[in-house]
Amino acid sequence: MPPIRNPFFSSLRLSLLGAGTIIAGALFVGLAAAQTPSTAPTNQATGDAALNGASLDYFPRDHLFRILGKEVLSAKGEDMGRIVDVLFDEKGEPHAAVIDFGGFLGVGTRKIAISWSALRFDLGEKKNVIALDLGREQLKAAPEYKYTESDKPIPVVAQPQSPPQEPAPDPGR
Amino acid sequence: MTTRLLSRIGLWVRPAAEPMTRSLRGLDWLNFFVANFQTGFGPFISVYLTGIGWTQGAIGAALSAGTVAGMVSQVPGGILVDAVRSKRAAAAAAILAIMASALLIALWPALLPIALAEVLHAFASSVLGPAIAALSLALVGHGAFGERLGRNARYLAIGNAFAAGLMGTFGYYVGERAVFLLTAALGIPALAAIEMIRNADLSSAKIQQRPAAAPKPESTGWSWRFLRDRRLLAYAACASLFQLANAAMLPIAAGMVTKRAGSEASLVIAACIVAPQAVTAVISPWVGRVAEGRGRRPILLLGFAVLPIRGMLFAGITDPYLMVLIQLLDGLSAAALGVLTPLIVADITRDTGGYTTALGVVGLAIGGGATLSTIAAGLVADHLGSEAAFLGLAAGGLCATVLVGTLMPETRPPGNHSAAIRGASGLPGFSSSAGGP
Repeated sequence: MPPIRNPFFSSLRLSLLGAGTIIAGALFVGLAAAQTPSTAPTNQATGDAALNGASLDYFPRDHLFRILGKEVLSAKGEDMGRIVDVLFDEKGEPHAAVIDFGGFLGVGTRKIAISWSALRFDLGEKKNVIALDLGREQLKAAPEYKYTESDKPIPVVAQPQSPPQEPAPDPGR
Repeated sequence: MTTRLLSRIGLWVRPAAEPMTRSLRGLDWLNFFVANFQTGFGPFISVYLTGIGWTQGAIGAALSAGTVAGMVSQVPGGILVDAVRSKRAAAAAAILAIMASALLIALWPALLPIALAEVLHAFASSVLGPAIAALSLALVGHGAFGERLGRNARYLAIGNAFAAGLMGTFGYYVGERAVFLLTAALGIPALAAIEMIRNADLSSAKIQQRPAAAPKPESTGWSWRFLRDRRLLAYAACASLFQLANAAMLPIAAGMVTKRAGSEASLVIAACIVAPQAVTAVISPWVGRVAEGRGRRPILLLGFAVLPIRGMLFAGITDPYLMVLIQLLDGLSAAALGVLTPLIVADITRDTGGYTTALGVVGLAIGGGATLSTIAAGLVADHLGSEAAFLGLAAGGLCATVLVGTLMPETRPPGNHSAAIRGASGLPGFSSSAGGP
């Protein structure tokens, strides 16, 4: 049977080619973005007329960081999941972090609230992670945190004797 | 050099090999790569969005948009595939749309683009599934459709298992955004697989050779009558109830593994996902042969009946490693439903020209059951515990099995005996009296 070539074949070829180009481009953009250095201008306090008297401060990038999505590691380096929420008390102080714990490809994760005092932020070089004074064995059986249950008390896991150092500066929001 | 490499992996066949073989190979690969690149769109999206700092509320909103679109688009997707002449073009367009949606997720992670990508993916998937079923039917005809669907299910399962490993590794070592770039890239071999399927092999000749060939759909005009077929409604109800009892089982079981296993919990959950796929990959061809040889009903009853057993075992067993073994039963159900859903719908809609529309109707019923399942079982698990949730799911599975036993007739057309002998020789211990009408 001779190969029958209809227009769709050639257009499919073209679309394959086009798709390949798009993917290659996207990969390039992604890699380039990943390698962009994350440093920012140095500390400088300025008064700006456009702010109508409010002051404006600039901070180096490695002094302030986002908390949501931050990876949490145990002291032993175990992956403890990511921070998905922060719970504040009535004084406006962060009291607990909710982490998405365990699972594989998002299946079987459990949300667990852990005491803010069990988190350690002073990681020197490793700015992208937060250390936790609790291990997997201590967290795995903890009751799940559910923000939809308004009438029940919130279970928060903590380390019995909290470590001497206080959490580093409030990340702010 | 390139040509030789491509021919090695089966993408460049210009051959002595029979043309039909090439098309069937293409279909194998299509199933494999589609399973591959659909994996990234599962629960993994919420891992990715969490990692880039999304709040749980925003993630829920974006994913809900996808869930709603997934249900709304089922029937229109089926109608569209019935209406277009080139099912290959429909499948290729759907794959391109899914690639676009993966790129959107990777490169523009803001609320609106992600929600848009979810909706686009949902609509494209509602076209892609029926299009692949229609392509398969057009390639092999009704006579060998059961065996072909067994093969499709095998390659889908292999693709799913492979992708779980690939995406897990990629996400861990390269980063979560890279998973979506990889997902988009996997659309390219999927398109290449479509190109392997030759239009010339997609004739309806085999369908028309059937002795009882009814008037061609074009001549009678398309009608909605098949949608009132009692068997179609019965099957939609059974499949919906099955998913209602099934969909929440793995997530709740995986949550239990996280709770009970230590540092190896992630690996145990990975095994809970991959192990049933291995079972499906092994037994699907046999399922297809038995469905052709002995009939749909015995296999259907078997696939449904293991669901309540699985639920009760999950409720009673706490060892995380034993939970992996229980999950093997899921592979049996998945093979049975994966093969029989497109097969039974094809039986029912034969010569009506409404095959994929009816598939869309059943897909809507299945999607509704699955969505309700996670909501209902989640509520029960929160208030009464996981054991109660598993028992509730087992009860639902029992109802679904009884429903199949009482409502669902055998749909295999009489005279489909060509595969009867081969079907019986597959595995021992399976008598046709198990579910005979």
